[in-house]
Amino acid sequence: MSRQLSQAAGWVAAAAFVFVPALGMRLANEEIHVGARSQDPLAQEQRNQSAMAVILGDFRTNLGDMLFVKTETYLDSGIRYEPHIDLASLETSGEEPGQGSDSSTNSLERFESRVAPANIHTAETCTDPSHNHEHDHAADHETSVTTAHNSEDEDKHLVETIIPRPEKDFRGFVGRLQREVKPWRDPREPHQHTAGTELLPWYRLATLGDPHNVRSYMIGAWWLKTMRTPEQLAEAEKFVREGIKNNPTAFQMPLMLGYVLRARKDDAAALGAFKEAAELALKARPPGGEESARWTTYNEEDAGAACTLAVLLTRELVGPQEALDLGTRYHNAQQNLPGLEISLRRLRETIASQDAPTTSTAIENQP
Amino acid sequence: MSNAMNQAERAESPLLILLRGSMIEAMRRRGFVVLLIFMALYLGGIAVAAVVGVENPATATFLLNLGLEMAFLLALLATILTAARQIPDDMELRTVHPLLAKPLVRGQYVTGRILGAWLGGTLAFIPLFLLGWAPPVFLLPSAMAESNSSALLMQSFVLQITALGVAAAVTTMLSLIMPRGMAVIVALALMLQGHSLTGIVASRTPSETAATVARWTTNYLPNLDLLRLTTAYTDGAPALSAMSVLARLGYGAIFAAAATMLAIALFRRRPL
Repeated sequence: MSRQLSQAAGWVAAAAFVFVPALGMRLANEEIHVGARSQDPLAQEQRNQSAMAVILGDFRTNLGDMLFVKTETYLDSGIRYEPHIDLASLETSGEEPGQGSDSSTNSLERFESRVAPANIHTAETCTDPSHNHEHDHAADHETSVTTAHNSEDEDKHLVETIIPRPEKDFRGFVGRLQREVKPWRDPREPHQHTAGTELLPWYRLATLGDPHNVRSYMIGAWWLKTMRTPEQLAEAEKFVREGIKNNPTAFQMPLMLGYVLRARKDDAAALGAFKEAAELALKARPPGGEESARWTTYNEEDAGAACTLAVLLTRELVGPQEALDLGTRYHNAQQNLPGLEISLRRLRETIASQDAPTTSTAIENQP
Repeated sequence: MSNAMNQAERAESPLLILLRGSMIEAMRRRGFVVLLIFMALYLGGIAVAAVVGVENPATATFLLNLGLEMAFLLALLATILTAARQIPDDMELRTVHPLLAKPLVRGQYVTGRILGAWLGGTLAFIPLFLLGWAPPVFLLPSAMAESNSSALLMQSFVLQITALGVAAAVTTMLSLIMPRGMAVIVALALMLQGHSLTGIVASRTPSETAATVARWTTNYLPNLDLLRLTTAYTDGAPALSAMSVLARLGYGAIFAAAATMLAIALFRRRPL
């Protein structure tokens, strides 16, 4: 009897096991990290600056985050600097609107280059290979050296290396030995950044380790996009689509898809992606875009970018009136979206200026 | 008195006796002391943080997350180490013969060993979990936010115990087809990063159909992340619905049952 029972249990277990992948995939797609405090860029910055977190080394809440930290060291040619990604200061000293863009480019391209994913635009994760990030880290001390500012001011702004420089190292010979055998560079000299494309395998690993690591999907796709070859652009699209599949409610993913599709000259598809990103962003954005742990400045900027790009591309592909209608709908759904109001004002001006000659011609044609 | 105890022992099922033996054996191993030493180091860190002060709530939350993750990972390690050694040790030391000479069939023997490793791991997990949770919460008040859900903490606790059951069954099954050391490494890799294989294989496939097949196939590997809610808890996520918890318990139970059945089948065919 017991043998029959165990056999029956075995068959039941086998039958259930056949369908277990369906259950696993369904549960994996269930969103439970509503708070996502661990993914909040400001919380990550605070953790990175914490002495306790430094003592505990690179142990972080998940493999993806740990690999992301690794990329920083990798990008600095193996030289480890003290935590220095100060998002607040980047926010105030970041690029000026339109900086680096050609005057011949249209407003959509200028806007695109300006808003390029806000939450990844740090020195370590810069999306523009031509951008001189030696300035970002070392401008203060470069200036100090060339203009002979006093050394106190220089030290105040200097990003020190983990291995201290000779003046600050009490260890004498041991310190000198460490500086010789380990990757080290005088922190007063400009940082040497390796090509970001070398980091691509890290981002691939980070997303494999944590398929919900939206930031790694975005930066990885962006670096692929900047390589500009058809193969890499196709790979970027594939990568970001994988990210969308794993993170269907993350509005930054279709936003990035839109950027990639624009680079692939598929504007119609890019418009669809920007519109999808805008719809998701409007759903996710708290009323008025009020900042919180769940909604940061970077989310706000990306939400504004999604809506504005959808409007500007609609103007390019369909027409100003349709773009104005779309933008007005976004504006009615959520107030104070960054960048959107300026675009709407310009659209109204464009429509008014188009109407004006028509009216004057009509008057002239009157008998 | 002792006669009464002996009678009670005789009346006890051989499976229960084996289970109790496995558990005691597991708890006697030095590995458990090592786990407690690791946890003591963590507690030392928390004490220092409490005295020195933590700079911001994000770091305090990180420390709470670290404690809870450590508790599970150490218990998982204990469970895997115990499960990987039990049957191979019994066969090497030939203690399996007197055990099977009792009225105990092979299926009961394997089940008892798996349950013993699971209960041993659970008994290690309970104090580790309390040590990982209570000190940061009481010593670093900023680690907790209003949104931290006690219900989710309890759900996480129960699901992690289920995950230990999966680990015990899968490791025992692996110990029957490969050497102990290899079984430990493979089990650890499967339990901690097995699900990553899904992404790797799916991303290398040429078409969407092939990717779907690859995803389905690789999902036959257990994904313990579905049973680990520690980060969701420290992130301030709300409690899961009863249906979701039941589905997750079912997911763990299916893997544990399938691995147990496979282990029994393998052991039945094995010459002693």
